[in-house]
Amino acid sequence: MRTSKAPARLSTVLYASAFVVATCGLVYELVAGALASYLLGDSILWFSLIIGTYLSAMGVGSYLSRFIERNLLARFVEIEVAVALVGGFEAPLLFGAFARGVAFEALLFATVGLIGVLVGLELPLLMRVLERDGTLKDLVARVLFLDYIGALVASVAFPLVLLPAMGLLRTSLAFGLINAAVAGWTLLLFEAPRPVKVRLGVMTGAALALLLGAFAMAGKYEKSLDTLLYADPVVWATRTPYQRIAITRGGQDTRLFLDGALQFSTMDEYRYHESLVHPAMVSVPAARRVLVLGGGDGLAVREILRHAEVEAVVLVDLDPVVTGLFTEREELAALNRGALSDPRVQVVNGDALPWLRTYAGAPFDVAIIDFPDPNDYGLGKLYTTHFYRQLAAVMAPHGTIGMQATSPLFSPEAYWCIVRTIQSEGYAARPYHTYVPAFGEWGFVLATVPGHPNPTPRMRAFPDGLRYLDDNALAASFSFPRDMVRPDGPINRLDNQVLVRLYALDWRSMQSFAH
Amino acid sequence: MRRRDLLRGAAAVGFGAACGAPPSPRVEGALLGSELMERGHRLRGPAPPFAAPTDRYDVVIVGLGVAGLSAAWALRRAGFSGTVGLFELGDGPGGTAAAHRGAPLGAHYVTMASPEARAYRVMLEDLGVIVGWRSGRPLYDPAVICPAPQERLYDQGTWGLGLWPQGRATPEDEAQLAAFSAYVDRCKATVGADGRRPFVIPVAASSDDPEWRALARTSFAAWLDGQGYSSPVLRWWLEYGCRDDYGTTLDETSAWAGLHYHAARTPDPADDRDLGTDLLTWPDGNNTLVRALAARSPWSAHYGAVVRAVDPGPPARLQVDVAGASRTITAHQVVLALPAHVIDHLLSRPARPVVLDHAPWRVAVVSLDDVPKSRGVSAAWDSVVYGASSLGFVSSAHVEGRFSGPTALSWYEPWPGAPGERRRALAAQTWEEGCDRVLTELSSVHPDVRRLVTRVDVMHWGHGTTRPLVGLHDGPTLGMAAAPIGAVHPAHTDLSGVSLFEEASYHGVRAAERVMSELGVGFEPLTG
Repeated sequence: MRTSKAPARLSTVLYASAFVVATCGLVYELVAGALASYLLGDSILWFSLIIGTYLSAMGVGSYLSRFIERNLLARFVEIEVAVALVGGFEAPLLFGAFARGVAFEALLFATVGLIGVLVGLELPLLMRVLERDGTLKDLVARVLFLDYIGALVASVAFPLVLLPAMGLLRTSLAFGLINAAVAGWTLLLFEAPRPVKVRLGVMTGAALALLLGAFAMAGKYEKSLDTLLYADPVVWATRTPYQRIAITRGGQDTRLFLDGALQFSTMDEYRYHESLVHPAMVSVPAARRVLVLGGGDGLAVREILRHAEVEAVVLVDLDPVVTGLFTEREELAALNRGALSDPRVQVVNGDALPWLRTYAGAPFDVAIIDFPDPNDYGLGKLYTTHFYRQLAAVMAPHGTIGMQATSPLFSPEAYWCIVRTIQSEGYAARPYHTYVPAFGEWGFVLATVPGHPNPTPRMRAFPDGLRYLDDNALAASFSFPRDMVRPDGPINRLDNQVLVRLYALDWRSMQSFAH
Repeated sequence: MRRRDLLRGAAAVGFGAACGAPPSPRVEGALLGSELMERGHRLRGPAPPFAAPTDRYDVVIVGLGVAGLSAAWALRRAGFSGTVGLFELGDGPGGTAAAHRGAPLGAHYVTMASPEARAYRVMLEDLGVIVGWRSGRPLYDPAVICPAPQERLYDQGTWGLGLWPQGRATPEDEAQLAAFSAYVDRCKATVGADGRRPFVIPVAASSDDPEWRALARTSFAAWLDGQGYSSPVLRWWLEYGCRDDYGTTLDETSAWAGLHYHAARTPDPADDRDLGTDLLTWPDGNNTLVRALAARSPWSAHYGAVVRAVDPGPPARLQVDVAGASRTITAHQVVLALPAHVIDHLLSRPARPVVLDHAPWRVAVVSLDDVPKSRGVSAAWDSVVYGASSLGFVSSAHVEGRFSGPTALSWYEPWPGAPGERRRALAAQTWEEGCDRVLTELSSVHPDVRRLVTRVDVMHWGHGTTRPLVGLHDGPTLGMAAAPIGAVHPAHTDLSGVSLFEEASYHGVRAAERVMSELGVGFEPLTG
């Protein structure tokens, strides 16, 4: 079959295609750029690399177009379907790769390059089909005009309309659908032998069906992808064997996220860390040896080192990447004032429970516990009776604990379960809470080891330089309003792990409350 | 044309790498236990004649599974000062409480002790499993209490907590479950005419009241029909219990045994402490317990010893192939801690009809580089797939309290039905067939398993579990099988009609106490 001069209606469609193809191509590029900068930070780097890859790949595609000699329209439909699939599934594919930790960067460049090559093939083909539709002068002017206008439409619509209305996932899929629709539209109008039309029709129909199905399901996945995204630009991100780490910065505010969960915001972390550390520190005659479990960001250690009598701090945190970041990277070490490089501080990277079990050194006067919330069984273990029993074994007879214990407002069942659990092991425990804007109302527990009387945080004065805590603030923090109190409930043990369930139920009811 | 193919190829590679099946490297592994089977079947041939005795013992224990080790434990505990010979077919102690590559290959958990299980309690205390007592009730070492979540069920594409299929159960199913649970609760709270509870571990302590024992004369399926328990979901759940402990179907199991599984599992109904679970377990299953028992034995054991024939005497004589030589041993008393059918083969007098038979089992230990990913409940000790022929699998990492890193899954598949036929069918299975079966099931619930798997070892247990068939628990069979023959005292979990560590241990201790009575040695009785 030789493609003859395009009939009038077909040429209208083909001109429209030039516009659509340009718009879609640029949208895919923007999706890739936005995704990479969301997930990996450094938007300038990623946008530059992606634009470069895309444009050069388009060049490669244009060059390759000279090898396509016959059945131009059929080839055009095939390429259009391929762009629809690769471009449409670009965002789901890349999200999936990132969430699973497979070669995200490689896949990113592969998809951007592939889309570039395919889009690069399209325009020359279009021009050749439209070749006899007028003079070369007219043709080039029209096609390139539509192409550049398409790019403008995409670049304006993407940040202002598409992203806010549909999100990355559905924008990507929607443009895949548009590409596939163009293929179908072209197919309807051009003349070809029946077997060719059937084959192309099946291809196009399958692509449309796949994209439509994915688009319908996309809403369900968007929520889980939310945890991969952050409000502020990511300035640094990585994935370790233990977790995803991201640091974002918006204005003066630096935030640390572990597995998508906010760990601190520099705007208000002083409220959290002063509340976590100092009540326990001033409840002992002298806090010479201090144990920190979790808290690899070193912010709790910074507060501990305000107390001049501290002789040794042992910090046990699972992830060497986190402690390394907050020791070596200047702007992050500045947040903890170089606490992790202090000669008094020893950093141990390991699992807290086995570490407690095997610890044979001198006992600790104070332990500060700053584990992530119990949202899985591995973390739930660190809030069990078993854990508190192991902890008591490394503490001095007057040992005092300061511990983060989730929010008594958002997860009250979980919070009071933690309080009851540590009490059930014979600790004298006093719950208290503080308002931390980035987290909301936050709960802590001050406790003394079994056999010791109630903690009295009045042994000594608070150190100088605190921004939040004083005697009045502390006294007020021990009082709980009625909506934060849950008097009865189970105790968290290894053999029931009820806390994980309570915490999940709490957050679920909080979400339905918020909606 | 070529360019287009190239492009298509590139697209296919891109998609394949992202969404296609992960590569499946060649899996290593072996079929285990064939040598043991060969050794065991040697005693099917004609026994050599008894020669002049070369060794003399006061007591000989044959079989160092849980029953034999428990007998030795009871002798040691009583301070028995005579000579004791220990003989075992395998290369180490344990019997079906075997382990392989750090994971169980057979029996893998025990339950907390009932007040009736006196010997078992004392044993657990001696082994450091019971660490103390509070108001007369045992306190268990927290490290051996099965960590939560204990059980999860894969159904309708996701893992849910517990074994009850919540996603599929209708209100009618739930109502029938509630009615059945209420009945089981009544069974736990009541006693028979003899003042004993109807369903107890050990079975020997259960009530002999004919009203309760009548349940043994009907099949569990028929009993459920009669009571109106028609819910397919409830019946799946109940059959799961039968397959799990007995390797039998609802039709094969007696109603007494079917109810025993549920009613005897609460060790002490009067204990109102919130125990979370009554399961005790170890990363390599009950093998930790048998190794601890073997280590406490003051008498060294002969492993790889094939006892060819036993003359019950008294005094008893035994023909034993040990270390390549055939020896004749005399003993004042003998504990045959062996399955009933083996005892029948060994006794050089007319064999009793074999009435106790066993379900064959296929067990696989699947070594993985990491704990596989799950949809829904992320981890559990026991993972069960709804509707599967297997019982699911337990994870050694979970028992160690780990939620990531290398693990070994022990996967269990009973083969219910006519045992002889089923044993032959299982024996004809190759390692490849077993490996394919377990990996197909595992990858249907954990898509990353084929990427993580490093090894699959498969074990065929020809005689896995005793089948508590209709009639077994209401007749003379069990009592006859347990009765001494001359100086020979049978000891095996078979004699309880169910296969449990607790039952094997009971019969081992009971046999040792009989032996000591016969020999006129004083001891503090723990059974009977």
